[in-house]
Amino acid sequence: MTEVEVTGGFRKAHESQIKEFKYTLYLMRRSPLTMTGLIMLLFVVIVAIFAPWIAPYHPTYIGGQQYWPYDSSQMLSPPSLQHLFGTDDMGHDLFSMVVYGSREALYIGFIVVIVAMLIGITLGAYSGYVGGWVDEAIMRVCDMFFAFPGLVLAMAITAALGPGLQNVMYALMVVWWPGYTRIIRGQVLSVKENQYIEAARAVGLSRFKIIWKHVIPNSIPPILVQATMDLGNVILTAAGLAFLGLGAAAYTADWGVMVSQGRAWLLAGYWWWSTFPGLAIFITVLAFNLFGDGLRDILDPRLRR
Amino acid sequence: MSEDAILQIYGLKKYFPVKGGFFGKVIAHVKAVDGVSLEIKRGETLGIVGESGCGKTTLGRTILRLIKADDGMIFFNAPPDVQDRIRELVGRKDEKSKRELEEIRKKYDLNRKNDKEIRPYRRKMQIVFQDPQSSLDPRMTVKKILAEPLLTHKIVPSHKVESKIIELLELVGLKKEHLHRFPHEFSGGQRQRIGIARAISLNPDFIVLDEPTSALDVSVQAQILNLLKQLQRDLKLTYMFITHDLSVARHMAHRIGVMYVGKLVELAPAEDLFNDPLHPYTKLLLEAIPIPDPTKRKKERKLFTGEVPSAVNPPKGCRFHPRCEYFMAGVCDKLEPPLVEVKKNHYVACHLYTKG
Amino acid sequence: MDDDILLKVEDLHTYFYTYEGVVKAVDGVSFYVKKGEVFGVVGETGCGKSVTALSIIGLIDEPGKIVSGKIIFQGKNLRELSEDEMRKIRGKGISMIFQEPMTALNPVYKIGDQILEIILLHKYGIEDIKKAPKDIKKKERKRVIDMLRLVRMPDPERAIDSYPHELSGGMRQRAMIAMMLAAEPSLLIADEPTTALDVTVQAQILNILLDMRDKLGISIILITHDLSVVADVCDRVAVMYAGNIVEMADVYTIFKHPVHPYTRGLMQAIPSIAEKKEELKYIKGSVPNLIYPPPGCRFHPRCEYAQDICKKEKPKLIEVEPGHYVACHFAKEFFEKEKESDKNE
Ligand SMILES: Nc1ncnc2c1ncn2[C@@H]1O[C@H](COP(=O)(O)OP(=O)(O)OP(=O)(O)O)[C@@H](O)[C@H]1O
Ligand SMILES: Nc1ncnc2c1ncn2[C@@H]1O[C@H](COP(=O)(O)OP(=O)(O)O)[C@@H](O)[C@H]1O
Ligand code: SF4
Ligand code: SF4
Ligand SMILES: [Mg+2]
Ligand SMILES: [Mg+2]
Repeated sequence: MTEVEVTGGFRKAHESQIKEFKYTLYLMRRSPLTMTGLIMLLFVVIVAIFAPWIAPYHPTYIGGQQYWPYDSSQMLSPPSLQHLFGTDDMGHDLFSMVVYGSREALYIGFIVVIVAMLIGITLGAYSGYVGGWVDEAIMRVCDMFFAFPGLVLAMAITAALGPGLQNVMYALMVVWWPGYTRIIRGQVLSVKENQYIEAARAVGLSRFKIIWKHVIPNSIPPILVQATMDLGNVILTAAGLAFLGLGAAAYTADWGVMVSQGRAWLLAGYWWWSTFPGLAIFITVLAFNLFGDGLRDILDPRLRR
Repeated sequence: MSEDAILQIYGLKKYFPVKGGFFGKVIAHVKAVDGVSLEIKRGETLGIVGESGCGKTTLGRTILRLIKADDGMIFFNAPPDVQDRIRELVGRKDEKSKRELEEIRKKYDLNRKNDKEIRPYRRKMQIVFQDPQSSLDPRMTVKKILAEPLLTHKIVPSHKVESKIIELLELVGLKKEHLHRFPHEFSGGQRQRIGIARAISLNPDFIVLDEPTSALDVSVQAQILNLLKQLQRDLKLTYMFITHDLSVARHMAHRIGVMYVGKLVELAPAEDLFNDPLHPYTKLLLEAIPIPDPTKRKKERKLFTGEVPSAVNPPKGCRFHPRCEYFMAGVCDKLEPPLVEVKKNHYVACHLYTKG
Repeated sequence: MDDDILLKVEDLHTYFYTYEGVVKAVDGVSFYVKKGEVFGVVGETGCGKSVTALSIIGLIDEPGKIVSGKIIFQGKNLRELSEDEMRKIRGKGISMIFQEPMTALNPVYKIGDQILEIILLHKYGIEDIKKAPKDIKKKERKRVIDMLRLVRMPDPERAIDSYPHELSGGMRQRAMIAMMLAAEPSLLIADEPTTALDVTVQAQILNILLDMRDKLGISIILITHDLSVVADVCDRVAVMYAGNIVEMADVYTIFKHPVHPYTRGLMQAIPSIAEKKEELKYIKGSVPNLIYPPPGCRFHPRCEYAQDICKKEKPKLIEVEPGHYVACHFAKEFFEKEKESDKNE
């Protein structure tokens, strides 16, 4: 669309958006827990981005498999200046592995949640807006998924597909999409009641356009909260699967795998092997939950006038 | 009655299912609109008044085919000779007439058209909603809101959209500074102006105004009412003005229809309705309106009893009979009174006037 | 004369401290309410009517605060009372009914139990309805039915065992009035009690309120945006605009000689049922933002008579004739003119 410039520059055209954004920042600043979550989150993200510069040791990849340099003379050494988080039973530097592990955790979290959300948004929006047998069919399928506990279902799927990171992610997507479908559907049912939807119909917009231009954009904000918290939950579940031996191979920079491997040594006094990756999981999951919780308040329409 | 009618409706019915029980079975129906027939003349304002839930909005939405009527005919913009023919055919029972009417319906009845076929008509009939808060998408700027209908129907080439929008804004008393603002940054009256701009953007012939001022303050209401009147003059619009406020109806409408529980009980020229209300319900309504003059306080405070009955199980016979002071046992609770012309252009549905 | 004054509000200021700035919702409001009268407060949305009401019964929450002023009820300044003492006043002294009855009725309790609870609390000091002795409950249940009958609830025996959602809007409003009257207050504040209702139901509810005044001798502050309702039921009226009272008088005077340009504008903007006008007179613009209210007279951007002085100095509420107060720099002149045109008629 060519624009006739009658109304001034970018700042002017986006004045309202800028105001909204500033207001969001203000609300965020007012909530200490949200800020704590946000800072922790930024910390994890920065670690993930700058892992190659932060970690003293780096893996090599052979045929997609991760190999870490090791020093047999340093086996199971406790935290020291040289190895901040100590080493494992082959002499790998645990600090480097925990740092690199953040990349994998975030990767799993984001991909799984985004894919699950996309599926959920599409199905949920059609289910809620179109109604009738489409709705009925989609909802019954969701119900079937809800009948199994999530972790058990994920375990079964991973077990069937075979262990490995990719398969864990597929399993988690399968487990997660029905939740989004349901939330979005509920949201759509309430958005649908707004008169602007009817106004769009009165103006002659097609159903497809109404769903994508009006219904979905107005249904998404509430699920952002859920999505943020789910990032943490997905990471936690993925770690759980890895802990059960269904995730990545041994001696890879995967927090779940590391906790799992170190567990056997815990009682023998080698506490650091499990503890540091465990802490990393804890911090990340907590960060997403705190931030998600705060986001709920910030996006609350009552606060937003 | 051979004036040019922009809209003719006959026996319009809309029943909403009421679901209940374990499996969401339909257990009853809300008879929101239950057999309404009327005509709207080109260029006039037809007021529809009635209390909450009597089916005013539903009537407007079914006419615009935002919801599909369960029964009845809606002829919009039929050629004058066809209009006359329809009027002649509607009452007739013989096979030949029925077949002829069927042919006309296939061509002109909105109720016979599917969603795709309806779309071109959308340009010609529009609606302004009651609630300025929820009738504008909160995530869209004014520009996007107004561009949508223009682009959908390709009213102007896309490089002229912005200047057309500015023209529309000025027409409804807003400024081009408002172009990039979000709905929540406007007052109720301004939002309603945006809603009006959206409705007139497609150069419609006919607009349903569903309580366009009931959410507004009186001083702003006056601005909007004046604006609507001015637009009607300038753009040659026909209005169906829905309101629960009789004084607003009087100010705006040429003719007024009074609805009660899904039915039209009285239809008359505005002056006539106020000077000589015939239906007992209309009388009650007029009695209940407070007058903005303390010296005209009613000496005797009338006891208004009862409430509007549910449209799920409306009373048998005349729906007003449980509240009516002229109730005639054996007649009013048995027979449904038809809408008949009692005086010139003055229609009433009440047994007081049908007995002769 | 002071004896028959029940409530006196003096120079009340209530502000809300929000992100965008300080909302001066009520900014220097003074009025009094006599015993047994219906005092109307009219004005458009957002002019501070509800905030005034909430200030009186002490229900202003964060981020709002009563900044200054006195609220003298039965000789006591309510602002000096503790929260405990205030709770006793609420209900027994002052009750309030709201526009949307669902906000005040608890959806999970039966109507009858909710009214009973208030009676028990105020008469016997029993906080928990379950702990009340059976015979008292039985006795007071009769009173609940009487209360419901008083507000002309159709079929009170059935209504007493209904949940709020089972009642229509008008019946809910009746239930709330019954509930608020159960504690026998001497002042009832009704905040737009009929705005959400149909005209015929509105007429019923207004009748009930007048009835209560006649039978129980209570005073009523009736908040509304509808001048016709004021004309119909009030004894005295205050017109509010942007956090100030701009005109106050008894109802006959104010409708006969409206003096403030805002009051006059409002009256002319109402479409009349009696005569048809081609164009309605209207007040240009809309209610200002109360964070940056216009300096001087807050009405000046919308006033057709505004002069330089109006932009600089805030007009004081002056008495143009006994009992008739107006806040306008030209109150006296306008008043004379009104009288003049009256004579000519
Ligand atoms: N989508 C729907 N599903 C079920 N019932 C409906 C629906 N829309 C309206 N109704 C019912 O139909 C009846 C008429 O409703 P309608 O909205 O037309 O009333 P109205 O006269 O416009 O009232 P108001 O003055 O409150 O706007 C009511 O009983 C209402 O509850
Ligand atoms: N909780 C609140 N927070 C911020 N501003 C408020 C709050 N409550 C009321 N206000 C503001 O105070 C002003 C007066 O409001 P109110 O008394 O509710 O008006 P009304 O006269 O319609 O009852 C308005 O500008 C309103 O936005
Ligand atoms: S038909 Fe009978 S009950 Fe109905 S309005 Fe007329 S007199 Fe009253
Ligand atoms: S003080 Fe001035 S601006 Fe205010 S109402 Fe009077 S004339 Fe108008
Ligand atoms: Mg309606
Ligand atoms: Mg209010």
